[in-house]
Amino acid sequence: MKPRDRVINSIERSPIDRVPLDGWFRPETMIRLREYFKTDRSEEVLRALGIDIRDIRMDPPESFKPEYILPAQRLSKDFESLYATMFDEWGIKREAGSTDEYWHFTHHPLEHVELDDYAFPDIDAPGRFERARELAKQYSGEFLVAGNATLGLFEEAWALRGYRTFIRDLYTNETFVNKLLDRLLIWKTEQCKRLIECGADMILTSDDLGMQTGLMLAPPIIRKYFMPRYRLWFSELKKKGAYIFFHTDGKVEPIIPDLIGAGIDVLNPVQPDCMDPVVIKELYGDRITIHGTISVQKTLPFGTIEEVRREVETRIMTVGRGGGLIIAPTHTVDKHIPIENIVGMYRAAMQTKIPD
Amino acid sequence: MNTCRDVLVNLEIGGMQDSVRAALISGLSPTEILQDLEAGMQEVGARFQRGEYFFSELIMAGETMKEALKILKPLLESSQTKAKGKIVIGTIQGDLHDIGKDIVSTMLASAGFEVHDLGIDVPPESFSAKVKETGADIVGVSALLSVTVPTISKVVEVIKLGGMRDRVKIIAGGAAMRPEYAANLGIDAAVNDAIEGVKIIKKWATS
Repeated sequence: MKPRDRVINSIERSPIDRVPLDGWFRPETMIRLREYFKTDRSEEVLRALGIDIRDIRMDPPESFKPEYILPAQRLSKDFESLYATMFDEWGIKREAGSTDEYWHFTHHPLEHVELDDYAFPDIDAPGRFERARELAKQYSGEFLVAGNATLGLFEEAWALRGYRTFIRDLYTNETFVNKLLDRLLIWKTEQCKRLIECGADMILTSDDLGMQTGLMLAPPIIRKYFMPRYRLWFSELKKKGAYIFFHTDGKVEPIIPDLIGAGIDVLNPVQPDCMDPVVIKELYGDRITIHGTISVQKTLPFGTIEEVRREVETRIMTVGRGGGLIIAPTHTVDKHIPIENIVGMYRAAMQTKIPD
Repeated sequence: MNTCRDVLVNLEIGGMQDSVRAALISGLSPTEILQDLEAGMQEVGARFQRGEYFFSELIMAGETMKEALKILKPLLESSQTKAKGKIVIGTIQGDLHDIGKDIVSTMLASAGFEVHDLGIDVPPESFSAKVKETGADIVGVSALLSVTVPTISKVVEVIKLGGMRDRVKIIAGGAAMRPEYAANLGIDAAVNDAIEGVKIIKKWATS
């Protein structure tokens, strides 16, 4: 069975030969995986792990020359710019942490410039979609092509405005919030439409609305500002035939019905550390596909290969029946996770039969 | 006019500064107003733990409290009130998450603690250096990423090396933290809830 058919059949609840697989890897992890599989091509690694989905994304335009403040460690020629401290094309400063693994936002343009005076990046600037189009062509027909359109509305808004400032805005500055989110909604819809034109079968977007213990934002705020815009955004993309993949970390059970109402098809990552995938499947499995569910907080970094295998088998046995499950680590795989556990996870998933 | 406590609990950020001024001219001392606000923060924390308030509302309460402290802090400094306790707090090296840590900092500052916030991505040595410099009796280490949790033992190690372990209590907080981790890490408490962490720290300060 072709990987693309496997994913689509799982979403559509048609027969599949095994559970579909997905995953994202940080550069240092990908380098170790290349060594493990004795290849210098990431594509070979993805094939060896049985990953059925390929991401494409929008690039900065040719004219954008990032201003690097602090060069990150040179990992390899493919990844050199990933963790450098820099201003991105929105004017947001991304600052690298001391261990070069993550960056965070430390300069927010809309704390310094009025929204009316702030120009969004030009979505039609040359050079944005050439690579996406080329990759989609390569993957076309064989793999499911996901158009990666992160960040979402909440995340892009707070990156532009500052986290606390934007939370304050949500409670005190309705006019500003509406104007910013509407401009982002229009811009992001255009971005996604172009990714679909390039060949994306699914649009992948994210807004972290949850934390380990509950929702980050109060539900009335989520329902007032975000859900209506998600509904408009996603329905426009679904008209063009795309599936909608939505990522939000954390314990988000109370808003899953809202997300379904807004039109999502796939929910990621359903962290087993704070939401029971079995319960989510029972409650919503007829309307959404569950993506993720293998813990990057516990099992993958700290478990044995046997424990990893058991978690994968348990998930497929308890959540996999009838389709609607795509197995992946619950977050990007970083350098703290042993290679043997990563490989073990994918092997176990490929070997486990879906229950009838 | 509403009391400062009510203004805080209702998250009326725009009215906070005027409420503090109104309380001052009505004859309340800065310390009395701070006590009133602390009661408000406790109520916000209780509403959060009951599921009536969400995380965004904890942040709003913190922001509202900061508005009050803009007026009160200069007045409190001049009245030389003794701090309830001194805490050095920060997010562990390798982790860049600051929201939970900031909430704890704000709540402790509003409860009358002297808070030395080292920010994020803090090397273990910086915690111990700050404890030495300030004479702090409590250390708070935040770690959201479970893979950074083991680094907390290094904080304990350097504090021990500095001969200060006997006089400081150490607490760790973060999403993936569990109370039972405390023993393994060699610390005095581990929590996955900012409000719970503040309660424990306050208890230590009064014991």
